[in-house]
Amino acid sequence: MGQIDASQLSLRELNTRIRQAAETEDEILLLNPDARHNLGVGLTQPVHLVIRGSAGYFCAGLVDGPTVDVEGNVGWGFGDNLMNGLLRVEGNAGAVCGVGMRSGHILVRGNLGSRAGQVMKGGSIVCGGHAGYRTGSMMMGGTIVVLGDAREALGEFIMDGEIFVAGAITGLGEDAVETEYRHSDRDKVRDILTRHDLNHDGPFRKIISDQRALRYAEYEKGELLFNTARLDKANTAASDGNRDVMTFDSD
Amino acid sequence: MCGIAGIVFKQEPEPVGDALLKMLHGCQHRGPDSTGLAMYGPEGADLILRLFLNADLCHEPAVWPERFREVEHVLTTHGFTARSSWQQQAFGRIGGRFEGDIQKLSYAVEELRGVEIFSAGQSLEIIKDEGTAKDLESKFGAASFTGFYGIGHVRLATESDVNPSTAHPFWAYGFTDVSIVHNGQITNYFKMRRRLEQRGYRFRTENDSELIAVYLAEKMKRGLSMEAALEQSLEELDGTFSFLVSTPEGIGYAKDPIGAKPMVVYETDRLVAVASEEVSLQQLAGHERIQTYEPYPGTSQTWARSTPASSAYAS
Repeated sequence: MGQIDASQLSLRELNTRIRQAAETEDEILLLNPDARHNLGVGLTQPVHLVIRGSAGYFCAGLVDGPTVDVEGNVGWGFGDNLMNGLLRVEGNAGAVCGVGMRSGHILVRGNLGSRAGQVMKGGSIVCGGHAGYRTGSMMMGGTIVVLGDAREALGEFIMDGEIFVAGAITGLGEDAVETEYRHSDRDKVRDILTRHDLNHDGPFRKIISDQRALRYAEYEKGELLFNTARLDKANTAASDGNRDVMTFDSD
Repeated sequence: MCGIAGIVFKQEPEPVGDALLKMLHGCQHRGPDSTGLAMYGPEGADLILRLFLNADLCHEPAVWPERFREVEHVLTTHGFTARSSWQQQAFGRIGGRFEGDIQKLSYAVEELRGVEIFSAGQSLEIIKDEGTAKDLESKFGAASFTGFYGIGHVRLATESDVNPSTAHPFWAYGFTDVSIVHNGQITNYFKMRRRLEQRGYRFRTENDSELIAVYLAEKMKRGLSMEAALEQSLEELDGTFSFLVSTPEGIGYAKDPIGAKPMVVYETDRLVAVASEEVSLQQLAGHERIQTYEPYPGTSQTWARSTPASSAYAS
């Protein structure tokens, strides 16, 4: 296991050292993070990074493939634009956790700040505590599971994806609607929780998009061409088993 | 983007200046333009004025001693008996006995061209300048200030000039011992300012943070508790904000209903500390792991000091 003491390194030196260590080590222990920002950003190796303490903003942002364990709290933007990997936090997460994530899985054992999963497109976020204001705001895909309560405007302008809440919901957001929690949903939630060695037998409330807002009868010309090309590319890649091309569903 | 910080020592007075400077150094990346502290020492019999001579309006540094003498003359004519005086470049501190109307006194002083009162109070002293927390410490030695609580700010200027006048904290102009630090933007600033001006209150700057200070102080003057004033601010102030207010009773926060600005709280048996980011709070604990929480959007809270202070900072 590699070991790095963050206390005497600049951020650039620190992230460079992490990336260098990830070339040869399976596991890296980061000491004295002291809630500094941008720790572990841009990691693309399948390394296991353990952050012994709290991390600041944008921890493990733009990563593709690593496992990152934070033994304290994280600030805003944890797992920002996550492409793939497993990110876990022992404490609380600040606002916009998992914003724009494409795939991969996030576990926050404590509470989630505001707007977790904002515009996420795939993957999963599990919250062991309570979820803040506008959780799942404008999410486009993926799954959020909250074992505690959810605050106001849950799923504000959600376009696709699902939010499951075990506790109380203060209020739903615009264009979010509660729907029946089916057996297939129970299996799906169980699979997501099992990935984190969690279990919750109680019922969940399921929130999805009511499909009334942010829906347009016609694509703009450029958007249609882009989406068609993107779908063709993803389908071709999937049939070839090529993971280098972005996929849009949880793995 | 700006950074705010506040701390209350629950048990006995501690070096509040040192604690705030450490916290502000930790979040200096949020605002490199200016840094400031509002520190509360033990409440004394004297009124302490922290003054600033605006260099653009007071012309040459050579005239600053003369301008300070003019300030002392105005103070004397309004019934203020000076007992201590300190001056360093364009910054000054005058302490003395005063039993009159602080609002009239402060308006009279600020009618002197280029003279600004940064703070007035029996326990409040505001120290602020362009530059970083380290700059502030090297210039004013604020780390030695001992007291129960205080608030601080690092500023990234977005709405007004970069100079000591528009640095935070803002004193509630005309009200003793009330100050504020703010991260955000008040979008109904002009409407709220006009309302207060119609009631006779003045503003030194065009900074929306100054509005919050006077707005809250005016409510408390009318009998509202700090808690009630903060709750009303959540209804009446529009925009994205997290701010800390400090009064003789303690400190409090308000956080906007849409959670657009960050705030984290760290509490132990010894202290309560509030900051924009956990990295500031971590400065108080070295490498020790700390437990923190983020207040919900649309909430406010206050913390009171518990016992009288026993020592103070003197310039």
